[in-house]
Amino acid sequence: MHADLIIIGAGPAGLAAAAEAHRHGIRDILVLERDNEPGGILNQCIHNGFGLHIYKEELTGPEYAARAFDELRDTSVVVKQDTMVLSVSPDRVLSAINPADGYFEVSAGAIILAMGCRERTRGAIAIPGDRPSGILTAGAAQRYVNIEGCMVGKRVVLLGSGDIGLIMARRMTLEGAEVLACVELMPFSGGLTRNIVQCLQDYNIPLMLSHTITDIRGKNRLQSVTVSKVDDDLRPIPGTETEMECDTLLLSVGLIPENELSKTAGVELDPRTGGPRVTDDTRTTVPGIFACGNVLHVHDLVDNVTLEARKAGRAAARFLREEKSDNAGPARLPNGHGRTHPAPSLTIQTDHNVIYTVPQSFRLPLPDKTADIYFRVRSILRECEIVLTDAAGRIVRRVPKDYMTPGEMEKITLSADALNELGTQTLTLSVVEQEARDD
Amino acid sequence: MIELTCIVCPKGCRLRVDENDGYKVTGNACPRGAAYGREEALDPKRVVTSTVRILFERDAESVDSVRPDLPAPLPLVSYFDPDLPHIEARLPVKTSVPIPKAKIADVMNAVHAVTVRGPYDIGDVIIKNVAETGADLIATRDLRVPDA
Amino acid sequence: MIYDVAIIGAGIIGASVAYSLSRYDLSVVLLEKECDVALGTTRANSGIVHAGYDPPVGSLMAALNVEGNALMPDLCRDLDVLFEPCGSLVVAHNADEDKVVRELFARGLQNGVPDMEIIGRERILSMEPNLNAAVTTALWAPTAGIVNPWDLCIAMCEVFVRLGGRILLNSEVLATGRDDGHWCLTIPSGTIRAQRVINTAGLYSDEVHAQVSPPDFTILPARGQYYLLDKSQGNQVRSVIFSCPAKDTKGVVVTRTVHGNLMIGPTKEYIHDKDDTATTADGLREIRKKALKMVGSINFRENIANFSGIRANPDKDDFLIRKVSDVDHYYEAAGIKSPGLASAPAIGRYVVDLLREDGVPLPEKQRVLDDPLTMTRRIVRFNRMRPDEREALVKKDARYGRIVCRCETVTEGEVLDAIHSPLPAQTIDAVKRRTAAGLGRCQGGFCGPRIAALLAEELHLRPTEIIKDRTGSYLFTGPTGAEHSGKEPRDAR
Repeated sequence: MHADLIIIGAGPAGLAAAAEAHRHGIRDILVLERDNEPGGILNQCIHNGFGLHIYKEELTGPEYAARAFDELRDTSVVVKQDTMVLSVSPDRVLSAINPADGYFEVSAGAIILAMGCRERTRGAIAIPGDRPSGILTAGAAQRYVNIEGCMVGKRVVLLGSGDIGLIMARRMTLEGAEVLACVELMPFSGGLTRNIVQCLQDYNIPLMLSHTITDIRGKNRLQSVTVSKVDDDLRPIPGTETEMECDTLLLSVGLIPENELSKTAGVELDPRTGGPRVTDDTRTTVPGIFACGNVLHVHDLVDNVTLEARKAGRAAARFLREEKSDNAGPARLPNGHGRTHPAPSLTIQTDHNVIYTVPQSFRLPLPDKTADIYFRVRSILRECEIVLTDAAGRIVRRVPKDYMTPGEMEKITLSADALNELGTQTLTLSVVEQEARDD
Repeated sequence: MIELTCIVCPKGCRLRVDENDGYKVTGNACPRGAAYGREEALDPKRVVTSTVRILFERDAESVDSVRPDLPAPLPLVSYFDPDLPHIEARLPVKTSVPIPKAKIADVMNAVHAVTVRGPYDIGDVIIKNVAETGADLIATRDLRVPDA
Repeated sequence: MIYDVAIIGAGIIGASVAYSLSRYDLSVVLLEKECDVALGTTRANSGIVHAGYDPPVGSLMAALNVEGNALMPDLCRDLDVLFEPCGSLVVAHNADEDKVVRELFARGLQNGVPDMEIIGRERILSMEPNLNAAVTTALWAPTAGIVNPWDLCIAMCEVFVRLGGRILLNSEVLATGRDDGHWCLTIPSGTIRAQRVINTAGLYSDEVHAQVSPPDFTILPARGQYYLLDKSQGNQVRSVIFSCPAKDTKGVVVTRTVHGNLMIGPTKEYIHDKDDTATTADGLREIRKKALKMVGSINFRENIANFSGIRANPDKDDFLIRKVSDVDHYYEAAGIKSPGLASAPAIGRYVVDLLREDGVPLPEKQRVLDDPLTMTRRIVRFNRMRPDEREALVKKDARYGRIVCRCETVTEGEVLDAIHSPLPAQTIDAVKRRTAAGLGRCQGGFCGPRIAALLAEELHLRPTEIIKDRTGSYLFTGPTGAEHSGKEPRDAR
């Protein structure tokens, strides 16, 4: 079996990539989805606030998913549901399984990774204590409450102020549960301000910044958690413990791009994003394999996922066209590895204020008129300036900013011409605060 | 004085709205913040999203195998009673427009009181003028009834 | 009815005794106080099949450890239990520890441990390149291995049930009495009568013993905390790595699990509550510190779970496997501390010998004589199959074509197998112990709903009746939408 383009995952990233690749002339597209319907995690995000940028209106998750799926209507894109991809080889052969087709292998001209991310669990933050039932990630709770129709508890403490957690605090309250507090380790919330206001403040749910959970009690079902204040080094301060009686602990303590399959393909990962290292057109270190959406880096808005996925769809289409013209010519290179001949490239490094950038580098010449760098900052920064410098310390671009927060993805847009002129070298992206500049 | 957090941008300015001074807004960093502050103080509104109960008749003969292979979007667990002849699931809904914040509880009571039977298309009205808010409660996804 | 034998406690020891007895034409009942087997010490320990150089020379522990170790590979093959003969290293970092290594080697020789060697730094680091380069010598014991303890316990119980044995769950023995020449065991649902009783109650073996005779031993519960890291860390070590034993403990162990994770632990804390399986910040810190001293490259950010197990340590220096002296027809295998897991296969046989010596007739079952395969078990493990095997399996039954657990690649077919096995999985964690679904890095976040659904469907449970693990560990409080209390949102003012 063969398909020109295989997309792994039919969430917002996979669906948008498929639609865009189709718009750019690719016809033989296969989307493999492990769940029993397309849409991914959007199906359980029944709240609104999606799509302002892409669809110019505020949609709920299921509505956004339906719009994304509608873009595939009357196309030749095939979506196989209930299908689990088991492995991806570096030469782009996938093994997969589903009840209808059984076990099968399929080769691909190009692959777009769009598997999304998973939630960090209790283990990831090693909270000591008992191991009763009633401790679950906010996303798992969201699935149970919104799709399975089962309430997961009555008295709830939320650890972490990520957006899914905040949304679930409101959701549980509306369904009659009592949410005692949202406990956040950091001195600021990683969630959107709008969610702090409309999910916590609207319902008088206290946000306890610089606090964490230091103990869990309950032999069978959760009975209580101990909340402690933390110091500047995020260590619990002895003597600040308060015990809260509750039957449910929801965890909203971060998301991890799900790259187990990427690893089987030999795709190189960036430890800072947890996703593949990519160039500006979402191409990974393995030829013909692209990545977009939360598998690449955790996004703040689904609209940004869609934009990135469209870029991946275009890039995969371009790759397939180039392959075809290469293969038509006499000096054909095996497996398209000719594409990997070291093209001139710009590498981006960061200063201490910037956690990561996507892409990690640009391949020159750039295909489009502009190119974007997405990044996140490490802490809340005020009155600052985003500065991109070249290897000689010359400023390539500077953008003043009033306010930056780790909860939001930042973006700067650069002109392709300017970047093309720079040639192979390393750029540095930094965020400089006002006081530092005045020194 | 009403104190609010502005949600127009990530900055989250602390707004103070003076109801004794024509709802004058201070603490805002931009004009959009002032507009938000006034609106939020005078007439705060929210879109309410939730789910309503939906029942499917179950084939009496297949009680042993409760849901052999029902198509998506039926849930995996769903709150069902093995002794009853139907399957219970949730249909996601929202108010068609933002409703006054003070009416959220009324809307939720209406949401909880209703039980529907499919099929539904996205956008279909579930409750007209829900809780006298002027907004309709509408389905936010398609829901097909499984083939008998 | 009056059973020939009642066994109290379905941990690895009770299961081994039951499995050993299933060869014989006896009526046997295995009583377990929890809602599944393997829920005590068996479910949370290092999973190590020790070679046998630790126990004192001449002890029952030494003999049964070496014998159990020798039996383990074949037993696990027969029962389709995950086992790897990966060997173990006790590593020394200074002259004092070198001396301990030599002592262990000498003791191992006397205990009859085969193939041990003392090896030097270069060889150690070629075998285990991630170990701290300051190692000096190590005791290499190639016969040591790792096993999945709960899988072994469950497998033995399944064969026991298939051969006519009976397992009663939720059946704590509350009192033991004599009536008309047989034992009467009071359990919550009634009375079990048996000619002979074998106490394998682990942590509670002293209390069970006290029901028939003043005990001459006490169980001192000793808690051990663990880290379980992602498979990304599983290749940090190849064999089981012990630090040199300090006073009163074997020190920390760094080991792979049979599922490919890295497991590190345990602490050793004497506690009062035999049920206190909590972890503590101090305990976890201690493990991290000790482990990093041995293998500096371990990435604890890849942690997926912490847990504790309670060892059933007696206040005696040896296993207590014997006929209880002052009463008739009552036996016990108590005080089974480490290396209890490695010894378990031998302990089962040893108890059978006790019965034989006590004059219990042990005719072999005709079924077993006719077909030795009746003492074996096979289960489907999709994630260990070759592509052609997978293809054939899904063709035969499409339910093996739906992956339920992404992290461990477990299929719906395997979950259904577990729910309908001779010892049916009835809880989320029971499914986990039988299939590994939910054991991986997402800790059941994705597969939880599907497994809950399968349990509800297959066992006709309401969602509120589904439990995670022990009685009372419910998952759901009711249907969405039923608990609305008309909460008012906050007024803007």
